[in-house]
Amino acid sequence: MSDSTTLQDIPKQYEPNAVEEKWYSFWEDNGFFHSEPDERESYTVVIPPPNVTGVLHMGHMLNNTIQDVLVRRARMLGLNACWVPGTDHASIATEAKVVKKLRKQGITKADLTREEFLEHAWDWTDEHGGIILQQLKKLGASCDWQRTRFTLEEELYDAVIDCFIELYERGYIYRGKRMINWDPEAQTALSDEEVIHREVQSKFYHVRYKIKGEDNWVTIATTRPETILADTAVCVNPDDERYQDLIGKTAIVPVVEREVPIIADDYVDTEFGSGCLKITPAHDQNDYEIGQKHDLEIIDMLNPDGTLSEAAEHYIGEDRFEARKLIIEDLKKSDQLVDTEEISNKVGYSERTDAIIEPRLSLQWFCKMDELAKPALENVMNDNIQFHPEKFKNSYRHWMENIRDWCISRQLWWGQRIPAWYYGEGPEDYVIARTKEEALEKASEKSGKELGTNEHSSG
Amino acid sequence: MNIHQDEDVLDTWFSSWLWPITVFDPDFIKTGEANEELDYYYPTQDLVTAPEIMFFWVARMIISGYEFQGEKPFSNVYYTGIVRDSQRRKMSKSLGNSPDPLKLIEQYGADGVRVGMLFSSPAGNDLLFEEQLCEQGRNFANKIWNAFRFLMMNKEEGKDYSNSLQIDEDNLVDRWMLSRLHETIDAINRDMENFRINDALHKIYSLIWDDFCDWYIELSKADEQGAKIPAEKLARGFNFFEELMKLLHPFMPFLTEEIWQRIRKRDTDEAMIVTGWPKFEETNIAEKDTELFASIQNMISAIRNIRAEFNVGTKTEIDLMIKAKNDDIAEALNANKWIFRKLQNIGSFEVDTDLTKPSTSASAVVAGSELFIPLEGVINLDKEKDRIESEIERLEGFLKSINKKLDNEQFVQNAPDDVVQREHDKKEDTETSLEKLNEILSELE
Repeated sequence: MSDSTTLQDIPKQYEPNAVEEKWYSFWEDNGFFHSEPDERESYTVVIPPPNVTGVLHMGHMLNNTIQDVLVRRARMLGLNACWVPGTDHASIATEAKVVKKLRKQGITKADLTREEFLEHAWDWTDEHGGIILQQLKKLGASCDWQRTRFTLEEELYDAVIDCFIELYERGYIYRGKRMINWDPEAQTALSDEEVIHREVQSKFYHVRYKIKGEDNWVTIATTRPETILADTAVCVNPDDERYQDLIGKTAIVPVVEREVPIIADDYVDTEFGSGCLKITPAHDQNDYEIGQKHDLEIIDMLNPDGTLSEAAEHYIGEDRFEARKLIIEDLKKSDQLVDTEEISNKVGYSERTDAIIEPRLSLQWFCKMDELAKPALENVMNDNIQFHPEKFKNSYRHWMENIRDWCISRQLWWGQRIPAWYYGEGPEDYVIARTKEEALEKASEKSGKELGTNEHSSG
Repeated sequence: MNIHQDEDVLDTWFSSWLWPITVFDPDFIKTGEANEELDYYYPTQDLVTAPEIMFFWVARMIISGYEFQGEKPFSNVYYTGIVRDSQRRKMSKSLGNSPDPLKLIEQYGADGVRVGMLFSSPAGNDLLFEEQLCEQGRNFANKIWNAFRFLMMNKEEGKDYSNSLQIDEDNLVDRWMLSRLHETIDAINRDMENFRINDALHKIYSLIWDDFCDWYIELSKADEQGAKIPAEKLARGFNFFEELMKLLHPFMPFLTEEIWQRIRKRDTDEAMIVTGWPKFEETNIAEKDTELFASIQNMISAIRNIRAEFNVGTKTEIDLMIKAKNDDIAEALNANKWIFRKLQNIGSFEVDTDLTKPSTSASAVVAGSELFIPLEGVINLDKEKDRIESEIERLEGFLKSINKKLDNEQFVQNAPDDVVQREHDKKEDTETSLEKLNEILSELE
């Protein structure tokens, strides 16, 4: 020890800034963070990949400090410690950032082809990408940087396509027209998990509908009166004494003056409101199911951006919330707004954009989850995989037992493109293939026709 | 007829659910045959993530793991709290309550910030962060640095400081410190295995700050003022210090590596980052010694309290009598009188099982033994009595005014609850103080 530093060399105060950079490069340059398989026991951690263009926040600080504590201790215990870093392409969040940046330059996404847009997105990623990983180094994170991965890099992109094809072939992936959660701001479908339900104050509008050919009315209540424009039935409980004589008659939808049937279904709760429901199959999950059962017409009154479509007949082009105000005025004028009540109810918001979600009927790709979820549930409940704290097993179990099919398609460009190829208008006129050549071959086989490629991009 | 590809892309989570597999073997999904890397590293051990993405990500990784690999992706999932401010508000740019992590690192050092993060107090699923915790982390780094400087200051040219931990078996303080070290190693190991990382850090923090800096180093000091710590004693101090740095390394990697490399010259492969984690050895646990030392610590605190209460300065010499609980304790205390003398200015010092309390003396009871400190001649009894009596008078007046307020119905009914509660608290505190002062006064009679 006589050859070590003398007291004169030791600063009076600890100076972290000088010390940190020195030792971080020392560790990294000497390969202490790097791991290769060997005869030792492995200790592996994969980082929860942060958004590629994100910056460090306090949540990351905590999370990565904990990971580093675990990894450093494991390394000292003599285990072959390997902490794999990387970033996530974060489809919705990154695409939204690029769209916003383009908008500032006066460019809209619609002005660009898919290829042009992706070029902008890659430029953005190259410019901002990986900053967060540099920040983690400042914290002291002992990641194996030679193993840094990105979810959209070529190899991982291909793996996702392989996964889609594999699960399609195993019968888990299907295409279907379903009621999905639509984010009118990002203009894409979302999975159920990407919808945050919040309790808010709303108005409950009581509106009366005329019975055709009678001087008689029924009253319904709704928090979304603009959807009246897409009503295709009125529904009561078959056992409800009050409405026995109305079943089978025709009601006239206010404003649009559409004649719709009054139907009966057990689904209606006689205790709720007036016991009489408006049915809008295109814009509500439950209404959609009743519509299917009773073979009702489906009128989609919304454009993807949340404005009213031609099918609405009124307030065309107006935003959904503006249309709500307008229809209230019109209902007042026609003396059909009976009452307005303050209530608190749950409204779904987009996890990413915070826009109010619209239930929307849409043709999307889904992954069947019930079978897949079984081993995943079992192995957490039996502690084969341990949750800390253990209480999270409860919500995990609840979710896994009630798991619904996963809507996996997104109406975005930044991500792995779905390997489905269409050769006709029919619902089954598609094939799943890695390349165009493979797709052509498969399509010819499936359709029995000779097929060419569509060269012009429809983006 | 034409063919065209779907315009849409896949949900981001449809790629990240494969993460623990594809980072090692991107071809595995297609081939179904694991390469060497996947074979070796999968399943991974621990996943650390936020509870918000349990469904988005954790559940789906488990699903894909079993579907493709037929095996779990990880053995443990540790859900961290959501970081909030001290008022439990979510951290956000618009609220201005979200500190810039890089600025924090600049200000407090990375190690200080790491400690600050880990010291945040868990509250349900939340973690309450305050910048002041990072300051506490920085202060801890400074405390360690000062201890390190102190040890270095005692080094002497040409002396040999061995680098293996050999304690002095005849020294209670050494046996106690070694026992505390191993107790803590064992406790930290168990904490870490159960993801009680915050608990583990608190244990190492108090082992370094309280046990090592405040007691062990103090008791290692040479008796004569200005003399250096004897070489073999200093070597033991360094050895303990090195073990402590190892335990602290995962939490404060930079500071510990810096000190480790400054204590002695090391080869590259002897760096702190790859040095061995201290091994727990049960034979080093000495319960009797730690119990005895804890009693001595408590006795010394009791003496400090008496000095404070009776206004006896630390430089004033006192006489100490300890009426030991039994013969064993008497023997043990007699053998370790030097510890008392090192930390307290003591004149005559008597330990026996059969002692009576001298008149006009302060006393305390610690673990069944009684301490007496005669005050005659030590303090000016009359002056001290006057001081205490006037303090009692002042407090009684104060108590009266509080009681008056609390008897006022209008005040009690109209003032906000917390204001009324504060008056009640004041009353209680004052009553306790009065009780204590009267007790002290009676010992002076």
